[in-house]
Amino acid sequence: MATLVECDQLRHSYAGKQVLDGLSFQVRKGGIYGLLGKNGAGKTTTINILMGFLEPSGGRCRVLGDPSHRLRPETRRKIGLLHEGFTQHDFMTIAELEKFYRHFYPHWRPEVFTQLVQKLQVPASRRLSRLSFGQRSQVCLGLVMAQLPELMILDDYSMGLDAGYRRLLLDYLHAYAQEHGTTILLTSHVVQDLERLMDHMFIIQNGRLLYSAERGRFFESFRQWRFQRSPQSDRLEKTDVLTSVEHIGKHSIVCSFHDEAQVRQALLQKDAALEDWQEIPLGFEDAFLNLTGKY
Amino acid sequence: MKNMHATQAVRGLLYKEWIKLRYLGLVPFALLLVGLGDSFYDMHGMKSANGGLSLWNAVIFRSHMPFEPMRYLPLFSGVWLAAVQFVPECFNRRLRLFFHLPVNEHKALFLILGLGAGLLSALVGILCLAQACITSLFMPAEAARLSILTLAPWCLAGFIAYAATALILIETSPVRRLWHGGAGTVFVLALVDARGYGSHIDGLPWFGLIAALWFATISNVLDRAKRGSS
Amino acid sequence: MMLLSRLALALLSVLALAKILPGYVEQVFPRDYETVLIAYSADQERLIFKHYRGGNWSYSDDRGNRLTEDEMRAALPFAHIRELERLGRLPDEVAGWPFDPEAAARHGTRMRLTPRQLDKPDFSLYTLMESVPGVKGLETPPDLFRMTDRIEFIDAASNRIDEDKSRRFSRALAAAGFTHPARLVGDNASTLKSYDNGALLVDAQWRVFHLWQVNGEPRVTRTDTILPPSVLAIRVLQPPSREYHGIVIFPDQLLLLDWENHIPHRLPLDGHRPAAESFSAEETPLHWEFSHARNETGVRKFVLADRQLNPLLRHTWHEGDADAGKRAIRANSMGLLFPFRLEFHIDENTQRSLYFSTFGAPWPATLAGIAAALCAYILWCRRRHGCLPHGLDLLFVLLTGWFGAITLAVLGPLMRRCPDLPISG
Repeated sequence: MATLVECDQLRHSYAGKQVLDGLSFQVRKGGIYGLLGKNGAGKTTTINILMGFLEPSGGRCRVLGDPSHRLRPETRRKIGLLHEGFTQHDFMTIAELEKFYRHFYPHWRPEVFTQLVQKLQVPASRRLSRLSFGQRSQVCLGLVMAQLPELMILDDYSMGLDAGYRRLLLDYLHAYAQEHGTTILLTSHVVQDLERLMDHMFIIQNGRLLYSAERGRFFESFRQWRFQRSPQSDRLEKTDVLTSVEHIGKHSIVCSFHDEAQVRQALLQKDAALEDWQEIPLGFEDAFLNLTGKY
Repeated sequence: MKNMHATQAVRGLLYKEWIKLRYLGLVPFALLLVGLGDSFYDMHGMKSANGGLSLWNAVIFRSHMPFEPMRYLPLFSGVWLAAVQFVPECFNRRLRLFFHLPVNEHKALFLILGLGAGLLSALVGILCLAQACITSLFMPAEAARLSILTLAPWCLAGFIAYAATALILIETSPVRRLWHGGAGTVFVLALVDARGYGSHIDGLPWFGLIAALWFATISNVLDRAKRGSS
Repeated sequence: MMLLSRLALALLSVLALAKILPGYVEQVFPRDYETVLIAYSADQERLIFKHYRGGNWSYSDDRGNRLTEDEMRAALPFAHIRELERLGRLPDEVAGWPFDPEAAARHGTRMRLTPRQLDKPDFSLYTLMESVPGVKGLETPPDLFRMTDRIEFIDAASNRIDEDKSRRFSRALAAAGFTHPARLVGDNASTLKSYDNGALLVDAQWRVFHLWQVNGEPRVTRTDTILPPSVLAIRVLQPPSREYHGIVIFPDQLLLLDWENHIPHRLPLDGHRPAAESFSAEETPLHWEFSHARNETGVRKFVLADRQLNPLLRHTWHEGDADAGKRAIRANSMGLLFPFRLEFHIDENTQRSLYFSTFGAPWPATLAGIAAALCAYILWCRRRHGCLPHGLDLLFVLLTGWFGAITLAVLGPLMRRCPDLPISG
């Protein structure tokens, strides 16, 4: 399967602060990839490097075969980019935006754009600056979809959107990816909607890849247990086996990629009394937060 | 195929510039009309009131400039056109939209600059030609010729102001924005602050070269903005 | 391409700094230098100096005696006829010449030439007023003339060529042997003069012609004077003494055209450069006094000549040691800080252009300044970017001194030497 994006040991810093510290990942053709992380994890910096808006201070990054900071126009033509905050030319009307962008993309599909925008029930002569944030997100997504790109990159698509528009956007995206076989790389710090959508996820933290897996693999291997809190359990810390340790009320909660026997063994070695031991089912957001930490 | 893409891309870029400039781009031309009207009525009024000799004396021996109100018109027009073209392009990180377009960003930039400079050229061309015609109605051709030579540095100031404003808007660092603004002001003031007819005739080629250099500077600032270095 | 673009921005920044910084720094140094005017007292046979400093005048003679204002006036009666007359102190005679106020006024031509008069753009439209105006006195003519392949008079009221007058004057010029196109024209549009002396024309063969309008008709004198092509300008004069018709200005000399037959007489000046120095001439019934000086040099040259322009006395005034010392400190300090400066406007020219100049500092001072700028830039690069600057950057600073160092520090280097160094914008 062809590799569309290949980042190897990416490094970047702003004013002495290391934002990316050896980040490596690959995006292969087909499927929806999520680049997830909490605020400040390095998602936007990664996207900026991918799109050539930043030159990394170290490492290598290739997009559709080109070095990311020297993307040729032919390569950019194959990439649909939804900018963070739905940045777009506010001074243009919906119709003007469509007319402007169609000049640059040979496979432009006006009906894709029209279909999406018609549902907004606003006239095409309305300026983008006069649309609500949600409406604006639909117009921007329509512009990216109409390009029929080979690779679609959505930078923090959820920013500023309420649950309805987030869901709407994801539904369109899902259907579109299935219909056209487009590879999608998206970033978000709101993860609860992504569970059903993503085929593969990269979780980054402190500028490094923390976890990478297919969607199913994450739930198969990452599990959570609860047991009665004790002075010994209060002294527990994160280890290779214990991915997260938390104490809430009368209970201590641990998460791990290891099986139950290995986790119990690790806890018993620390003299924790495992009274009232039980496995707690994990939602996607819980799993993400347990992995990356709440703070 | 490549040529077809290029042609379409140029049409797309021109379409966007048309949207930006179709109304706001007319403002300098409206002011030009007002200025030319003022110049005509100044000369006409002086001749009607005191005779042609009085007008000639005022212009030739006392350096009266009927077109004085247009001293800052090209300068204002340069700043205005650059702002109309580049503010929507550069603010709120919109420059990224430009960088992501599937066109060579430097060629696209020079297309935008060429259009703005072309519009400015049209404005100063009309200004010089119309002022020469108005002057010729009341005075010998020599006066019209010297009027154009007097207007020329003001027009050059307009081009420097245009390029410097574009540079300031594309620039991402506040300190460098101030720096470019300061440097631009030095040259613009040198061109507009002189009194008297034909005060820049000897220096025009040099100032023309400086105006061209200002346009040449924009490429690397765009490149740096794209690379995100500060 | 990018390098050229970076160089362009750096170069423009250096030019802007070279315009602004020296002007501000120079204000640190006081500029209350003494300037002096020199005159000759024929009665006392000595030079009188009028010193000007910081808004105040003082007076002395060439023997070092301080003079009061009254003593100075008494020593120079021709220059102060009005005041002395008002005070009732006009002398009876000066150097054996019985003092006659009327004769003194008749031979009291004063002339000033400045370099700015040479490069002042003109409309190439000239005045020819009626030389015999009758009781009406001198009036601004209703037309101006231009020189093309003929002489053309343009009427101000109608803005049309007066064909009849143009034909008559062109015929007169042709009859006198004038060859078009004219090289130079000298006129005098002022009506505040005792008489009109027409216009001086230099034809394509460099021959001087004199044109008057007498009772509306042309009167042309073809002279025997043929000027060398290096001539810069010709001016018509209206001296009350009617001794000279005009003055001709060359890059290195001045000529007066005499009244009788326009024969040129060279003024006895020492190394006068009209394009750079201001010049003044004062006529008295006994002598001619000439002086010329260049701005900001602290030197003025003076020549006393007899009525036939033969030199009698030459004197070069140099400013005092204190002023010369202040000037040297300023030059050295400025030369240390800046290798050159840029001005768009200088006193000698009306034309705005790019005028580069140095500060007259000795070259070791300038080199020391450049070396300091290079060291500062290298240190800046090491501290800021942790590596040495590229050779091109060093060359740029070497050529432009502190201007280049400051520019590259703000804009970033022209060329990368270390991979993580951002390049300039």
